Amino acid sequence: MANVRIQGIYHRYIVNSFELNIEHLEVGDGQIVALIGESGCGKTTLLRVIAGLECPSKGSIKIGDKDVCNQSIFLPPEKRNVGLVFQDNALFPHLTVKKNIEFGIKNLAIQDRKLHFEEILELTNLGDFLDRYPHELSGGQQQRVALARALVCKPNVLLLDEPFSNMDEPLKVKLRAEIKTLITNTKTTTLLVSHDIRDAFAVADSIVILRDGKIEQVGTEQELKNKPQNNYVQELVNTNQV
Amino acid sequence: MNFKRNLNSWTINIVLIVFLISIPIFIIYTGLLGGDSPTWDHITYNLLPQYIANTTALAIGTVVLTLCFGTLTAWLVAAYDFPLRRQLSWLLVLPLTIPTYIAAYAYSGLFEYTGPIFSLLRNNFGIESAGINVRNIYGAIFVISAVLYPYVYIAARASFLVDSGRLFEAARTLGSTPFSNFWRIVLPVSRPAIVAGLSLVVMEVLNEYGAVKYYGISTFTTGIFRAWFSLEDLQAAIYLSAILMTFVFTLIIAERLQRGRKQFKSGSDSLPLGRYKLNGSQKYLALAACIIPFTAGFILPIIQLLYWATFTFGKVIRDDIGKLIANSFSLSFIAALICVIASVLLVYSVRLSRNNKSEIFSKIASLGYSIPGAAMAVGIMMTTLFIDQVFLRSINLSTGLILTGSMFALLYAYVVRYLAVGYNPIDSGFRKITLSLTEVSQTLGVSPLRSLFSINLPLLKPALWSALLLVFVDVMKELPLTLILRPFNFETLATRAFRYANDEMVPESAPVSLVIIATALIPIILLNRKINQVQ
Repeated sequence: MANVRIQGIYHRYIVNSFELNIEHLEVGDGQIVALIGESGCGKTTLLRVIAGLECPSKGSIKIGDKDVCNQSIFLPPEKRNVGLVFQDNALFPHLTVKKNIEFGIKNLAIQDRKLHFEEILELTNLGDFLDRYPHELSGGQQQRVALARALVCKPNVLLLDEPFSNMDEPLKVKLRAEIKTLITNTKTTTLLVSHDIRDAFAVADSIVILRDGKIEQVGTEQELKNKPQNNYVQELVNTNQV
Repeated sequence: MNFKRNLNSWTINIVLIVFLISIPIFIIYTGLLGGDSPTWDHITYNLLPQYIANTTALAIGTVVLTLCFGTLTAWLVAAYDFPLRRQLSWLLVLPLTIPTYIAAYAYSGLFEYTGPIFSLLRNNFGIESAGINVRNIYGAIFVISAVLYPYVYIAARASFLVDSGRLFEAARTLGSTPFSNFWRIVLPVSRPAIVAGLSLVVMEVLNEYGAVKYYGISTFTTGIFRAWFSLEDLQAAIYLSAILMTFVFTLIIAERLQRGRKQFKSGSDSLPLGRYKLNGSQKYLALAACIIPFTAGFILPIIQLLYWATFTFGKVIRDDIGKLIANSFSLSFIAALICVIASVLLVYSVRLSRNNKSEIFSKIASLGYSIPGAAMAVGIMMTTLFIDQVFLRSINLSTGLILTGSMFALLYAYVVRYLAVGYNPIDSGFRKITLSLTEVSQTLGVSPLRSLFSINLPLLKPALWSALLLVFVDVMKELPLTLILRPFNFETLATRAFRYANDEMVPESAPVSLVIIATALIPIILLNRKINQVQ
């Protein structure tokens, strides 16, 4: 577990001249922060920058005490110890649930592996599915496998990309609660991205509103509702959806 | 700063592979600057006009014939219902398994006075004839077209079914006749695909050596051989190669340009055409129109080869066919393996570098496929000579020729020429695996190299196999590169077939040729089975 500090990140796509410009953002130790914004506002890009899948043109990122990105350092994703859950879950189709979850476990100390594996298995309730292949699972189960696979490596920070998209409303409500419990139980620092502010209200300690690559406002649900910084935020909070 | 941080081993892979592929292609142009050619005047006055005339006639003739054979059969199979249509739709591809030089040998025997056709006429029907001499440019055009038309057939049929399927159905509901639909809608929409098929035919014609040599036609390729080996004038061979390659590059650019800005994809998914029903006699006309090219390109040559093989088989077996098979198979296998490994590295590196310009790399990787073998042999020779004489000598590693004339040079040439054949299936295989699988394994602390082995390669298995098989077969059939670059006294099935034919021992070449054809049939049968499974 660790906190994440982002300072002066600037990233530009030449193709569509989209700019991401984050002056300052901090996610506290064990906190759950939601990044909310319309599609194309740069929220997924920010997630990828933190994971090390994109290299920003400027700025620095610190995870815990470790500099993972600044003027002279750019740690590749495999050295950052972040857990990223993709929108499509990105489960390895040719591996069983067990093999999927164990995929990154080699980075833990040998004596910790088994215990931690059992612990995550219990939290995610996947014990009965270990021998199945991803295509034999339901959408919700697939997501739990993706989460288990990320959490079993004890990541410094967990990144969730649109975890509740492509789901119908009842399932969403159930999964929000599930994820919230799971993260709280493992005390993992989490950054989640969504276009639906209700996701944020349901799980996040703090909410970041992103628009056109810039931060509009940071605050709790109450703060955003009571003191919206501008019309955009106000509308967003009141209509409940982007 | 950004540049330095992005410069990792994967980027280096890309640069290295692209560099190694393009040197032998472009080094030829550096050869234009240096050296004297004692025979160049003689060549330009006495031979060059002939090379240009014959090569052009050969190219135009085969383009016209393959266009007719290929589009007509593709259209019949795609749009009409007639007996044996399903079987013919894949039988029509089979002539591709017969290398042009082998078809040329078979045809010269087929129409001889002593060949099976005229013997049959003479002995059973009392018809006396001197036979037909096919060893001229018309014969060459016919024979080459008979085995190369499937390039046009495959491209046209795919385009008829996929690109113009729905448009064609729309046109049918508007009440126009099949014939006018074909001219007004299907042909214009499928033109780019057909031209792409035709450009493959032209590349093969320019690459042709065995058939034209046997038929006594002087082309650019035979000219390069003659300048190099008979006139012993490497410089003249370089000049000829440079002219030939410039012509090829012009052709590639013209082919790109003809596609223009037009969007030819109609956007609909593959939709089988509703097929026209044919009445009695029309049915058999359509059947005949498909059976004739298949017979000319596959059945007849096979019959002639089998006929020869019945009385030369024993003799060739007693010779060293086992050793030839071992040579051909091991060489083809190693070349195929290198092509597959290089393709995987190239595609995977491009993916990891997240470069949207990957199209450029596929263009460069496929460049070698369009360079005629004889010209590429010159390029490879110049490259290995340079390494041997300038580089290795300067660091006192060698005083002679280590790479030139070695297996290395030959394998290098195969990889440059056939990388595209392996690259395409592997590239499309990778496209089916989302990049997020690699990315997620990176965030799980697994390096890209390890995730290549544990995630990407297992998922890529079918593509790897088909790439391996396709390159393997192409190398088995290859003739001009092998003839020029093989180590002294090293023979493959292809070079032996060539040598028998040119030593006036054509019947002896039959068993060797049949082994090549049988091997080439394997991927076609396997791929066909796969397609049928999907259906």
